[in-house]
Amino acid sequence: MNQENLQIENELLEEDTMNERYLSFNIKDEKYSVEIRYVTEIIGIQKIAPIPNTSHYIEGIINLRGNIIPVVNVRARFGLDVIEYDDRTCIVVVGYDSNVIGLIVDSVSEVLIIKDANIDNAPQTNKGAKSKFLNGVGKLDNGVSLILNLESFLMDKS
Amino acid sequence: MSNIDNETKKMLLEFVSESLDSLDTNEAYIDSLAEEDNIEEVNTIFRAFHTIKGLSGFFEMMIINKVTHEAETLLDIVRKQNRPQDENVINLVYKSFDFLRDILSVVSSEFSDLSMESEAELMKSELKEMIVSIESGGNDLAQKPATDIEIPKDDFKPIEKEDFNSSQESVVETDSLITDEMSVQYLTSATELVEIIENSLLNLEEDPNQPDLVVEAFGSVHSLKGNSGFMGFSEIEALSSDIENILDSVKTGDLEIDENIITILLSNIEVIKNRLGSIADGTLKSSIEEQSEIVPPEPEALTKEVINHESDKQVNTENEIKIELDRIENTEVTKNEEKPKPVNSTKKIQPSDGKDKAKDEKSKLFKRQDLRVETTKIDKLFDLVGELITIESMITKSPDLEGLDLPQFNKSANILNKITRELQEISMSIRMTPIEGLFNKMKRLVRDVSVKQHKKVNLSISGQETEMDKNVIDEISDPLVHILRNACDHGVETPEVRKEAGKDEQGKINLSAKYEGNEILIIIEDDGKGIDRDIILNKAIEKGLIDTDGSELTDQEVFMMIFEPGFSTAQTVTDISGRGVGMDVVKKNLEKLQGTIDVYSKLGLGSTFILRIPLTLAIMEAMLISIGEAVFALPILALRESFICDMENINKTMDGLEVVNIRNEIMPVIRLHELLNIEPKSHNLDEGIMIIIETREKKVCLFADSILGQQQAVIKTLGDFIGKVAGITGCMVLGDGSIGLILDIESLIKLSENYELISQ
Repeated sequence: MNQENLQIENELLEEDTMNERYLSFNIKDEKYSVEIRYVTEIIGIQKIAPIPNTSHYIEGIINLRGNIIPVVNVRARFGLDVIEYDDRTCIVVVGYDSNVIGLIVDSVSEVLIIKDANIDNAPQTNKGAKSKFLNGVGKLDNGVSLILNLESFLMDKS
Repeated sequence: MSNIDNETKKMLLEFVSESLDSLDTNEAYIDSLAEEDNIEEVNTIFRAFHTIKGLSGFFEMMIINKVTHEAETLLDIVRKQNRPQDENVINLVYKSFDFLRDILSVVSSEFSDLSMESEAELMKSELKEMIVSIESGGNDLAQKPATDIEIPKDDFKPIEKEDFNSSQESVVETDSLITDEMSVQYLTSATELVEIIENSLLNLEEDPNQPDLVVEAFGSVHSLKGNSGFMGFSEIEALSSDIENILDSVKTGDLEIDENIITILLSNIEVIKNRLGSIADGTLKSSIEEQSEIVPPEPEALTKEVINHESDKQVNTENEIKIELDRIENTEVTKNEEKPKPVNSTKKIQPSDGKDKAKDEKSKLFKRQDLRVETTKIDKLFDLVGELITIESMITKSPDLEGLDLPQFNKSANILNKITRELQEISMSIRMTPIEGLFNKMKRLVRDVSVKQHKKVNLSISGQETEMDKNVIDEISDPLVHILRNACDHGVETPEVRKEAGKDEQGKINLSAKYEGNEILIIIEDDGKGIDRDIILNKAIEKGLIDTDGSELTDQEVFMMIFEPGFSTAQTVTDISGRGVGMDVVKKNLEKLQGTIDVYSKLGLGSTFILRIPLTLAIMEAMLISIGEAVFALPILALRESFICDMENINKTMDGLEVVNIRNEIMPVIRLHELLNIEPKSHNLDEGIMIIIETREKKVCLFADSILGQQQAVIKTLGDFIGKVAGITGCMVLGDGSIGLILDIESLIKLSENYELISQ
C-alpha cells in the first residue's frame, strides 16, 4: 500500500466525527466521494477470483484475512470502459447494511470535508447510468466531487 | 421499572429463558393428562409450575407468582385424583402455558409483569373455576367420552415405572410424624456416620486387609440406611443400601476391595453428603413431610449433583461415574441373588448416557446434563476452528515447501492435522442437539391445526434423538411447520370423508428423522388423500410453467412443481394455508442448507415428504481441479473416477451432444469451461482430464484441464451481495491463500442441459 493510502488511513483514524467527511477517489478523470462512515479500509489491488454467471460489474471475490469479500468494478458499474490495473488501483472496502464489499477504483485521493450546504442535487442527465448512483454534487475549491449513493450503487439491480 | 440494576436484569432474562425452555419441554406432556398411569408426566408439569412460581416470587414478579400458584394447585389436584382428565382441563393447561409465555416475554422487555395484570386476573379465575370443577368431580374422564386426540404411549416412556414406585412406597399422608427435633438429630447422626464410613473406606483403600474396618463401615452404613428410611429420605436410604450390599459382599469374602470399588463407594458417599446438605438448608424434604418435593431424583439429577459437586475438582468426573455405577450393577449381577430393592435403586442411579442405549433414548426425553452457554461463544469457537483448519492447510501446503524433503516436518504436520480434525469434530458436535425439541413443538402444532379443522390427527414421532446442528434445526423449523400444516389442512381428510373411503377416522402423520450416509433425512408421511397429479398439471399449465401437456413428466417431477412460487391448488384459502406462499419458502430454506426435498404420493393413500440435509455443512473434503487460471473444487463424495480421454470413445448424439463411452456406459460430457466462461488450456477433450461424477440420479463426465489434488477446507458462502450463482455453491480458501470456487454438481448438470438446448 503506497504512502498516500497510508496517509489517508491515518486521517481516518484521527477523525473523531464522521459527519460531512468523505473519502475521495478517482474514476477516469472524474472525482467521486463516498461518506467516510462506510469505509472500513483501503487495500491495494490483489488477486481476484472471478465468479462466472454474475453481473458484469462484479469482478469476483477476494480473500481478506480469511473473509470472503465480493468486489465491484466501479468503472463497469458506471458503464465505462474497463482498464487494466496499475499500481495506483485500489480496493475501497465499504460496509453497508451488514454487507462488506470492495470497490475497485482507479486511485484514491484524500479525505475531504464537504459541508451539506455545498452539496447540490445530482443532475438528472441521461449521461449513462451515472446519475442514479449519486446523492449529489459536492462543490470543492477546485472543481466538483460526485457523491456516491452507496445504497443504489450497490443494491439497485435495474 | 428503571431502578433495576443490570445484574438483576441479567438474572431476570435468564429466569425468562429458563422458564420458557421449561415450558417448551413440558408442553409435550400435557396431553397425557387424559391418560391412565400418567403420574410421572403430571408431576413434571406440576414441578414446572412450582419452579416458575418459586423463581418469580424471588424476583418479585408477583403476578406470575400468583398465576402459577393457581396452576400448580390445579396440577396438584389432578395429581391427587390420579385419573384421566378431560379435554377442558387439557386445554386450560395449554392456555396457561401460552399465557405464561406471553407474560414472560413481557418481562423480558419490560422487566416487570405489572402490565399483564388484567389478563392475569382472567387466567387466575379460569384456573380457579377449573379447580372447583374438578374437585367436585366434574371433569373425570371416566364420565365423558374419550378425547379426540391421542398420543401413542410408546413414543413416550420417560422413566421406568419401578423407579417411581419404589420411591413412593414410604409415603404417609400425615405431616406431623417428623418433628424439627428429629430432623436435627437425624442430620447430626447421619453426618457422623458418613464421616466414619468415609474414613473407613479411605483406610481400606490403603490397606484392604482390615476386616474390622469393613465391619465398622458396614455397621455405620446399616444404621444410616435405617435412619434414612425411617425419616423418609428414600434416596439416601437407597444409596446406603447399595453401599451396604457391597460391603456385605466384601465381608463375606465374595468381593475383594480394590481402588475401583472404593471409588464407587466414595462417590455414593458424596451424593449422600450432598443430599444431607440439601436437607440441612431445607431444599430437600423428607418424602413423609411433602410428597412432592422428593419425587424421583431423576437418575440424571443425582448424577448431576455429583457432577456439579465434583466438576470443580476433576475433569473426568462424568466418565468416572459412569464406569463406577456400571460396576455397581455388575457386582449385583455377579452375585446372582434376588434383591429387588437394591436393583431398583441401582437403576435409579444409572446415568442416562450409560451403556443402555434404549434407556438412553427414553431418559433423554427427560433431561440432559446441560451446561448453558451463550451461542455467540460457541459461534466464535466454531469460527476459530474453521480458521484454524484453513491456516493449517495453508501452512502444511505452503508453496514455500514445494519440492523439499522434510520428514520431521511432515510427521509433525500429520499430527497437527489429526488434532485439528478431532477439534473440528468435537466443535461440530457441540452445536449438535437432538431434533427432539423441534419435534415436540410440532406435536402442539398438529394438535392445534387439526382441532381447528375438525379433523382427527395422530402425530407419531420417531428418531427424535437424531442430532443436528442447531442452525440447521432453526432453519428447518419453518419448512417443517409448513409441510405439517399442509398435511393436516389439505392432506388428511375429515373424519366423514375418511370413513366413507374406508379409512380409519383418525388420520396418521408420521414424523421421523434419521441419518443416511452423510445426510440427515426428515420424513413426513401422512395417510391422507394424496396429491393429484392432474390437478397439479392443470395448475402448472394455467400458470404457464410448462408448455406441454405434461404427460412426459414423471409423477415426482409433477409433484415438485408445488414448490414453485405462488403455486396453490387449494380451492379455498384458509387462514392456515392455501395462499401459495408456504411451499416455495420450504424449498428456499432447504436450499440455504444445501438440502433437497422429495415428494412421493399415491392418490387416495397419502403422501410422503423427504427432506435431505447434508450433515457436515461447514467443512468439506474437496478435489481441486484447474480450468485455465482458475481453481475449482468438487466434493470428493461425488467423484467416481477420472481418466484421460481417448477420442475414439467420444461420440456425438443426434442432437449434437458429446457423450463418452466408458466400459460400455454412456455418459454426457460437460465442458466446464463453457458453462463457467473460462478459457481453458485446451479445448481438446484428450488434452485435459475427464472426471466422472455422480449425483443421486445421474452420472456425468466433466472436462477440465487437470486435477490438482485434495484439500480439506471450510466452505464459505459467496455472501448475500453476490447471492445465488448457477453452478457454484460457495468457495474455499486454498493452500496458497487464493480462492477456489466450489462447484454445484446438480446445478451444473441442469445448466448443461439448458446450454445444449440453447446452443442449437
